[in-house]
Amino acid sequence: MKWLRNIISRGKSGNDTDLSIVREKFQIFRRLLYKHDNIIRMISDMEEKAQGEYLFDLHYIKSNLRKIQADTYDAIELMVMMGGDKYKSLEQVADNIFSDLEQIIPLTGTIREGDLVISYDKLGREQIRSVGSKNAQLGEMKSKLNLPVPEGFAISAWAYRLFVDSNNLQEKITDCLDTLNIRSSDDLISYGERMRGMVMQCTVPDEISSAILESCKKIQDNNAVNRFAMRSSALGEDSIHSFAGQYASILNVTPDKVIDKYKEVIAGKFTPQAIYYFLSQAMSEQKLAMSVACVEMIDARASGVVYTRNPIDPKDNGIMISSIWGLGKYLVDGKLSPDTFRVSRKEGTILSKAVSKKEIKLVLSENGGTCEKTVPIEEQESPSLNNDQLRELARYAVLLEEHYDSPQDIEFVVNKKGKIYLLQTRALRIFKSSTTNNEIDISKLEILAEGGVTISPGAGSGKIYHATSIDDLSEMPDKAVLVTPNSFPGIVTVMSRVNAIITEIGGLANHMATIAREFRVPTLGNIENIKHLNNDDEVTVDASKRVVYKGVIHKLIEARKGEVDLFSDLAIFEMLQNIMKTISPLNLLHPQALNFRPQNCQTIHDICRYIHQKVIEEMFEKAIQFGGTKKHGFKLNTEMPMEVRLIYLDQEPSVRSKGGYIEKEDLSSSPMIHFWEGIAKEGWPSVPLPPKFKRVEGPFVADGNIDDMPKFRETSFAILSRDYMICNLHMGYHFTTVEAMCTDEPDSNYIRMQWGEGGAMLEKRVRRINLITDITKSLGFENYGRGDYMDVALAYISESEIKIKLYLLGRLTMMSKQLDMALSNDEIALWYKEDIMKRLGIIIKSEKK
Amino acid sequence: MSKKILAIDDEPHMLKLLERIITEKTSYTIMTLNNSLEIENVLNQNQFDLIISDLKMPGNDGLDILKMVKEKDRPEEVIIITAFGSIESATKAITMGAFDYITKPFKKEQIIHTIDRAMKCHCIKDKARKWKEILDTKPFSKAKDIFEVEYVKNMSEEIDCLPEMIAEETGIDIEKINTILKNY
Repeated sequence: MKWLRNIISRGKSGNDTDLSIVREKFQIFRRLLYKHDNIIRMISDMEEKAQGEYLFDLHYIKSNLRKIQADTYDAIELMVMMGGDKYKSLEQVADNIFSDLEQIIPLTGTIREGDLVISYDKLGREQIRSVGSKNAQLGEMKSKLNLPVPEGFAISAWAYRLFVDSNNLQEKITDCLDTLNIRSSDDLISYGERMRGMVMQCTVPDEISSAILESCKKIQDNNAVNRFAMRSSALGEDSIHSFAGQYASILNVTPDKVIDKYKEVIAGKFTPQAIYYFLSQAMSEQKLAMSVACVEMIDARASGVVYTRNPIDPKDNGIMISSIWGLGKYLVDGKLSPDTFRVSRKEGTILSKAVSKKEIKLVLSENGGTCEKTVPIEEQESPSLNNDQLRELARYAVLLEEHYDSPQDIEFVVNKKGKIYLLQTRALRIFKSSTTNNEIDISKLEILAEGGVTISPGAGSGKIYHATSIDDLSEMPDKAVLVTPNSFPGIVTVMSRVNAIITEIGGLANHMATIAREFRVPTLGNIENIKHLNNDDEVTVDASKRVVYKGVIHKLIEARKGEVDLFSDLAIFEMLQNIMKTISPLNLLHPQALNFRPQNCQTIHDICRYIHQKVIEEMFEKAIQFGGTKKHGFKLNTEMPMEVRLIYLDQEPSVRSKGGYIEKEDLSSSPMIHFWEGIAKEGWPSVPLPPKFKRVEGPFVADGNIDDMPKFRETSFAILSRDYMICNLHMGYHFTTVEAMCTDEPDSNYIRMQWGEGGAMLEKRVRRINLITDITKSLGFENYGRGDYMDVALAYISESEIKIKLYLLGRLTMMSKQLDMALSNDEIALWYKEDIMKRLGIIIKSEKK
Repeated sequence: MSKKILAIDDEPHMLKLLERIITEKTSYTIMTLNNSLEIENVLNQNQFDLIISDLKMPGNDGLDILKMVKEKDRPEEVIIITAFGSIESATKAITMGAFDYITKPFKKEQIIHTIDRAMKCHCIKDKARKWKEILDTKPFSKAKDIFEVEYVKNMSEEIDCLPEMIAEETGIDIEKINTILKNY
């Protein structure tokens, strides 16, 4: 109420706005609503596409995002034109959101110029485009979450770009990639070798090498560290594609070898499996700039992986922890079957424990590098993590999952003193394709092997093919069932050629397992007694139920096919869903809530919501200011004892009668026509009396001194366009303002009605406001007002509904005129409410029941 | 034998989606091609039942590929995938003999339905071509031989019956039937 008085008093203080300014503001208002509608339409279109029913391409996503981006900035600019610089802060909000989007889908695709090396103390996930995901998340964990992360720094993508440019490397690489045949294992091996050779022959520019060495020195001096681990952190790695284990990690590097090893990590971009992966996933090699992580080497007592959820069973609420003795490489490469633990999310209770036999471990060599050692017999079958460590890891898991708001795949190491360090966190992909429950009769099928662990669900059949390394794979026939003693990196190169995989060793948490799930290859791991399966034997692997059957069983394969989420694991779908998280959720709900501010807009939808609300308020203010201060416009010809002046914003009205009157047939404003129709239907009111109540004083007399009442406009007015109306009716001692937009586009439509003051005592006025609020609520309106001031609104409804509501509001306005005088108690108020609702044809809820 | 589809698009994400939907939701097999410049080689070495091609691509575009198929009188049906706004080119594709066009983004059911229709059409055309060949074959005895082969193949396909039953029904020599079915 106070704000409305302010507006009105501002109008009265001579700060009048003339018609041309109001018209100009109205044009801005319309353009802004148009932009708003466009954005909302594009967001909902993308929402629809993200549901899994449509096929679309990157072009679709990018072109929509670019349009959303352009319209958002246009809308903000218009908002500033409408309401001034106080809305400028929205630009920064939009900048932040689009910068987040840029991390998911580079709309520009360029590598940003920046520092060559950046310490983890100064890194956060927002720098993902400069240092790759691995580095950015290590920085985030260290600098923002204070989690135990080894000392270290990122060698940036910008350093990589300088390295490539200064050695003229790009052209040579592109030539090789254009020539090689991705389906040929031989090509992948030979071209990969050639490209890695090219990288190793390059020189690291001085500015890069001195920056790296200086950073190493700092860590050495401050932490008495003399060994480093160097790991890839390519741009694009760990984003929509996991790249699990495709790039190089070099352990136990002495300071004098750091520069050489930097080149080696870069060369790791061209291993056969990495080439296959990025070409098969349709990524541009040039965009995968190789940033490198250089971290303090932790001498591992044990290492492992935490999955904050079960990747093949989203319903499982436990945290999955896998670990082995020594360095983690033997776990992630699938060389050892790890100990596996399930820990509860809330209390950290150990739900299950499966300790495997770990005969060997990988440890640091004294002279650099790593070597294999036999695990002392007494430790081989003892758990590699104790309960305290499991609980600590579970705590980190919950924290990281909450922080990133998605399931995480976390690598960790435990040092000789038992302290845990986190080495990596990234989004864990959950296998969403549900296996159907179509059971088939398996009683007559011959079982060749059973047991093990489901690594990737489903069933596949084909001829058995045994392989132990990438060299064996070139001879492998298409559509084979690949059998290996353990996982090895080269398996990824045949992922699209195999129908199923069986590995004797290995669990859910190694890199091959991640990739198998990505490629949807049914995979069974950690299964014994498979040596008797001979090459060329035809089998069907039911990875879901952990059985290998003799022969090809089509019905079983069909029965295991996922029925839902056909696309959800595909990179482009995941990308769209992540984009939607950034643009679509609505966090600003109530205009009067404390958080309804620009700085609280988290998504594009929030910005839209905020702007929509504010532009309506601004337009309202401008119109009221104008309409309430001068006798502009033309008079409406009406039988009712009130003067209503009409001001048109987008047309010259038709004035037929003498004296400048506009006939109601010539209103030519859709909302006004329907609102006025309701008013005319009721006519100038006489308030009916409740039958069982005695007549009070009549005619109604205002309570108190009328001179004390705030005076609103002496004349009522309406500012109109063909589809817009703001109508302010001065009816005795109260005012009613109805603003409406009525177009064929539901997203643009709204009605807002305000009601205040009156001649009666406060108590009666409040009764009337409550009565009208209740009635409008049953029409779908929401009240934003308080006390004896009502401010109800309704938006995003169809043109026909807007018209009906306006008609009813017109009638309601007349029915409740001066009603406050009669509302001396709640019982009477209830009677009036029900009477009015009945007359308006509104079903009373209690009756409905 | 499973019918074969070749899908060509410069954007591999779309190929992945097509590959996924065709593999999981139809009985057809699919080969995908990301670089349209390789199309000539691929077509020289393979025959397909259906080609699904994006309209706008670097190198050979969808219309080039369609032209290639039609000029060489190849049997494949062609479905063109277009972006919204390329309707004119899509209409042109239809006048050049494309089976249909489909506008991106499209629903799963829409592409499956279009593919099924194209396959049916392909099948009818294939049969018509074979009939024409038989009718054009001279002398009559040779035409009769070809007819018998087709007749036997059709019978075995439709009723899944044993060679002996076919022999009894048609009066064709059992050994001849076995040879036909073996080569089929």
